[in-house]
Amino acid sequence: MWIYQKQLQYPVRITQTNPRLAKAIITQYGGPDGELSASLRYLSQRYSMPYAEAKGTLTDIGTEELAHLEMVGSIIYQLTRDLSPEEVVAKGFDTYLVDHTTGVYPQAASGAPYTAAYIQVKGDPITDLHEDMAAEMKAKTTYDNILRISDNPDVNDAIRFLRQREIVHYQRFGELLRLVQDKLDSKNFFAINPSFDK
Amino acid sequence: MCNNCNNCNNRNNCDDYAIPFATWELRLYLNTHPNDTCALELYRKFCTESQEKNNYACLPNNDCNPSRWSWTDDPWPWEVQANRPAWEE
Repeated sequence: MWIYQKQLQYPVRITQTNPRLAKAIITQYGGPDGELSASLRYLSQRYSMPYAEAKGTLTDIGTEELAHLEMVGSIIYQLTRDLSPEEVVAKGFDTYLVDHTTGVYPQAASGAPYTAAYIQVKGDPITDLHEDMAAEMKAKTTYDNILRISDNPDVNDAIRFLRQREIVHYQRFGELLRLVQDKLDSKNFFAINPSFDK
Repeated sequence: MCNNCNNCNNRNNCDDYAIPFATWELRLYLNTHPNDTCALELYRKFCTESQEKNNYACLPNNDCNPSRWSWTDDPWPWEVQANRPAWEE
């Protein structure tokens, strides 16, 4: 189960609002390669993992992604405070505001609502770990793109932290993949699914 | 790596974010390197120091086995063995 600590993993302190940037960054909240996708994917995949190290790592990284989800939500919240109606229209935020005011809604930058179709839980540990490594790289690239379009130093500070964590998670999943492959029968390398076949 | 934090002169400036984060990083690392006693020692050191601060990375009752990391041991909550009452063993 979960215990909640009432503090962000890394502080988010944004002084300059920017609703246009918020509309882009929201993709890391409810988009295909965002933190909600990551946490749901890992926390769901862990059940069919056959090895203790995999269960532990997926649980921990899935939990950390929830903490990142909270950070991204905080960024969106702080970027959209105290907006004037003129600013809302000028920054292209009107299409979001009519449906959500300044609430934080899980959607992609395109406006598409979050869907589990963004993730897969294939139930085969090698397959799932490959997806996890890809997911971390996709998230990192999305953060790279955010850094390309943002000139807000407060935002960039938090984004750089989140981007670094993606790289570290990629490393951990890589270690897990090697660990799982080492434990398999080398004769049946691609045929066996240790979660299902005995 | 073991002696870096022991010799650091900047410990008092490690604010409320740095120590919990370092502890969490160690925990992630220990999941895939359960027999790394150096990292385990550092993890336990951070946990003892930050006990009163409700450090999110520290697990209670983690001192059972001094030479390895035991958080990842079976059973896990979704498995049947974890849901049997103790007297039924």
